Amino acid sequence: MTFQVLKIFLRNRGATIGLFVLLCIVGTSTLAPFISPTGPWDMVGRPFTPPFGDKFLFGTDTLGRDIFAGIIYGGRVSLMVGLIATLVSVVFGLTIGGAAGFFSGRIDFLLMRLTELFQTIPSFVLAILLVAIFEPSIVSTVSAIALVSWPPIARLTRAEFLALRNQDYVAAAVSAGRTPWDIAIHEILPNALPPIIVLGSLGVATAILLESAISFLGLGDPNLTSWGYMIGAGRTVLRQAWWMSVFPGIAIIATVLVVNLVGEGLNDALNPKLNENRNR
Amino acid sequence: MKQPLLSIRNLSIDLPERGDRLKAVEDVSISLSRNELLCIVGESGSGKSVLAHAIMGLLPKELKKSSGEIRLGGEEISRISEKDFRHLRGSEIAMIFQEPMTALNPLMRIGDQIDETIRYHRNLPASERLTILYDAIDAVGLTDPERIAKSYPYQISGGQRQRVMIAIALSLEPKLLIADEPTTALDVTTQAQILELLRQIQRDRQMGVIFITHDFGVVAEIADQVAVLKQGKLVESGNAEQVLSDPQHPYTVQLLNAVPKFPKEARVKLHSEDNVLVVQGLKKIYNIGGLWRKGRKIVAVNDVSFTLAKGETLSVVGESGSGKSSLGRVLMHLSDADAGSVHIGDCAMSELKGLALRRARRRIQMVFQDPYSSLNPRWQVGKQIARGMHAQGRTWKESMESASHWLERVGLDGRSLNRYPHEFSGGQRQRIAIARALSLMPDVIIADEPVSALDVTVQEQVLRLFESIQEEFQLSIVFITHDLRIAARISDRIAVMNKGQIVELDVTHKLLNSPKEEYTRSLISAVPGRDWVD
Amino acid sequence: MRILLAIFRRAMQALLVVLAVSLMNFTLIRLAPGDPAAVIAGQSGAADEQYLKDLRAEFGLDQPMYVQIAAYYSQLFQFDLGYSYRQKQPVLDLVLERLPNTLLLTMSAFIIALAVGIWSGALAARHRGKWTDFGISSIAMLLYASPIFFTGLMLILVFSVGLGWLPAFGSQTFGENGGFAASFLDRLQYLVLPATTLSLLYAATYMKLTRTSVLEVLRLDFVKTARAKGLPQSRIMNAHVLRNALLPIITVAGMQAGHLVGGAVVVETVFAWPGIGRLAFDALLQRDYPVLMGVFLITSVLVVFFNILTDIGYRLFDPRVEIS
Repeated sequence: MTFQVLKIFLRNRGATIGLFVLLCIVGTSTLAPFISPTGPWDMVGRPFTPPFGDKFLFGTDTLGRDIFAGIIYGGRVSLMVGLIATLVSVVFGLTIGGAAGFFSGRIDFLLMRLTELFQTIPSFVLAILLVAIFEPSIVSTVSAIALVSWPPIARLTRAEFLALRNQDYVAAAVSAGRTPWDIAIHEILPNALPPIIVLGSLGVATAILLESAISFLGLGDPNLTSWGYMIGAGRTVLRQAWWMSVFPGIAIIATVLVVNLVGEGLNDALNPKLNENRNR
Repeated sequence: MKQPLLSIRNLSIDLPERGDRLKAVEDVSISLSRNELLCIVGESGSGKSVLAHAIMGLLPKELKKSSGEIRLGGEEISRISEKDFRHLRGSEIAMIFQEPMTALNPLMRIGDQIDETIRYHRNLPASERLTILYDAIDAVGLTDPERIAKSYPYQISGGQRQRVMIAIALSLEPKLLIADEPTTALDVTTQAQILELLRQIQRDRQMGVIFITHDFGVVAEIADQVAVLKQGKLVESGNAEQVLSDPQHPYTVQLLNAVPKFPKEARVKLHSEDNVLVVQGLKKIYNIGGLWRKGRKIVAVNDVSFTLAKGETLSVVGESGSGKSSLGRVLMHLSDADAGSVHIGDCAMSELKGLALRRARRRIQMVFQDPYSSLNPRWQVGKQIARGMHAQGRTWKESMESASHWLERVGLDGRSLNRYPHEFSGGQRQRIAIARALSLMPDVIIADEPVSALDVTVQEQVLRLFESIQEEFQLSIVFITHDLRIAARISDRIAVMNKGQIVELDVTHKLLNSPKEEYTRSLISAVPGRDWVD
Repeated sequence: MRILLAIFRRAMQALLVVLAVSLMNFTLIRLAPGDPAAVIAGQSGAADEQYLKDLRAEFGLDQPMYVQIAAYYSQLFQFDLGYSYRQKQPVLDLVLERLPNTLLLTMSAFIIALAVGIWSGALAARHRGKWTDFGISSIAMLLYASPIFFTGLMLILVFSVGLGWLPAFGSQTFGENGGFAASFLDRLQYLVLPATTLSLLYAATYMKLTRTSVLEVLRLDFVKTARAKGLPQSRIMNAHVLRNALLPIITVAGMQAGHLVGGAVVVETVFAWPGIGRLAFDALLQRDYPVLMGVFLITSVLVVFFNILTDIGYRLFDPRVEIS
């Protein structure tokens, strides 16, 4: 089954290119120390060096720090935060949505009101409020993002569970005398997971954007550089040193774009049209 | 000789490359006179619907006409521009489709939807258009045209919606009407009414009508001429009466034989007198409504009682909303009954809970209607059959071996254990579902419309499978269906259900030949091609 | 009558949201690391010990929890959102002063986003698979992937720094006394960049949504019926397709309201637009928590308000919707 999924995915050119670029980005960030001998905080050159010169591909900032180094080290933060925050929100959302969809009744009602509440609240405002109160750090950033990102996953999980519960093959499983746990894991979950995986992968994109906004406002971890932070730092000197903001921005756009492409590719691969050969 | 209204000559339409054959329609020639009703019959994939769409110029972009011609009143229409075709559609040729609910714009009032056609084809003042509108609604047998015109589609019934579709089609008095399976989605009594309406309109206005169907009963009921399509090719055509009584092509014979006929006398079957299934006073009530207002109560199953002997088949026949499906689910204990009891042998199914219930469940199994949702698309079929047995206590290895054996028993290759549901056809999937049900060695099988979604020839095969397994294992079968002909074919006794209650229950041939209740009589007379089926 | 019932339900919901959010605020102050009094005073060591003692007394921070909660809520229902010690003004006043600016910004952005998004989405669906579709979809993809603040900065770079056509900061030129028309135009030029920035992201969302929705509706049976009637393509698109395709968009637009407000925070910061988003940012820097929480509460209420509007809008469109 996974083989087939891979085949359909690779048929989508955009998704395949996206995956390739994504792997490059991830690779570059992971291997940062090997690619750039200097760190993002090291003052290695003259301040305000324009890009595309001899030494510094992306130029230097107000204190003479290498922008290129900033980008590849900053990538680590953005990617890591994006991934971990999404994982946490998916686990949380799955549990809540699954419980609501499976148990129904009062549990469903309460959990859904909770989800609705979190969806009504402006998520970004809550996120910055949380980060501000609990002091900016990578932990608080990840937690804040996770805390505002779980509702769509919960909603989707619940919807999937509710729809799948009414499928005939679930009724057949019940009739065979199988336990509810067995049915939930073997019959419902495998069919519920694909759209959740897709939503999760798109969630990584959102998480990266959220993280960049948080660090842009100066609420990121003060010890770590990230793309959003770099854009924020370059904001006041936009006239003199546009490259300080432009290159990190392009990095964000590129990363989010390829994550979205991969997510859409996953969507096509994991959710094939069900009305294939409707032979009567 | 008068020129035919519609003349199709050597028409071929290509399928896109990934299709299972080269052409959707291959070298088909058909002609229709002015005052004639032609039925085009075929199973799924026969190309009948493609043909109908081609005449209207509504083919999707992927299907291209490769050769042949279509002439309407002598004029070639398959090659004219889209702009010219638009003038024809709605005013000279009209088409109605299968699903009345989705064929109407849900957000537009019915009056507006009928008026549209008139407005865009004729330059008439509003008052005249209104007259035509009301006349059209009246002509299809709908009363209170003002109310209908103001309503939205969701506010009227399925039968009324189909009448509205016909009104839209006929408002400008076209010469040719194409009906693409317009009654397939309707209840049998509603179908009978619509068939009669179409027949009457065709005669009154002396129109040409092409009626697409898969049901030879309909052919017997209304057709003047008939054309049989198989895999895109025309295999037989001619006068309806003649083809029905003396079919020439083997495929036509096969299709005709597959339509179940009413039996004249009791079935000869050996089944014991012991009652395996005893149902007493079963009730199921649904509550509809939210938190903010009082809910509505719908009594889906209202005090139903019957018994079923070992090796016997009882059909439960009813239209939609009769409660037959709810009954099935309650019998299976998939929903809890609100009153009454279900006993299987000595086991009081309706009272069990928890582990005892799970153990007892194997005694009654279900075969579902939709072959596409009764199997989990993500698992291999062998595993799906084996899981039930495994849950009932057998080892995994035993269960898989047994699964293979059951696949063979239902007529499939035992080695196809590792294939996925989408690799099988609809009929094959039903067989797999039957194998899954059988693997638990139940006493009773509830079959909920198991053949309704299948082609007629495949239906016959699956019904024969049911008969053979019943004979071998002495199974008791409750066969739920809306089609009296299938009930007639397969059951020892028939129970007619209406509004949650069993209206009449009797031995098959007695019920069909001398029904006692009014409702039963109306169901019997609504069967298309009644006289021919007898 | 039914609509009134729906509004009532939503109003109840608004109340619940207010209660829940204020409870969150209440809890957060006490959960935060450090002394709640210091939190309320605004940290960064701006308060001396006596000040904090006074605060503790005033807020009853030494009292048992239920007393605190009671006091808190009674304050709330008197429309007292607390006091900003930094700015020496009641929070409510600060918020109300700036709210109109934020509303102006978000409303303009919303309308632009809807108009551009729906128009381009329908266009892309009409020309599916061709260059128009590819072009529009690609632009949407890029906008979707770009953080709002970055789009804003780029727009500033091009239109303000580069071309000098539009101002980059603020909402009006001071000392303008040219009368209504001049003042209107003046404010307009300040509005253009921020509103465009905020709208672009959502325009991309609506575009994708419209395109998908239209494509789905085009496959439905009643479109075939319309074609079988011989209706011209324009009539089919306008009366049949678009009306049905717009339904899911209205729903989503409603759900996006919360994000729109959040986006406003960022945009107002980038463009120094004097709205509540900017207020929140300044409060953030100063750790002025009462103001932050006040903004949080007000924006939540705003979102519920938008949800009510969307609900009404949806019911007007779709006659099938029943009260449930």
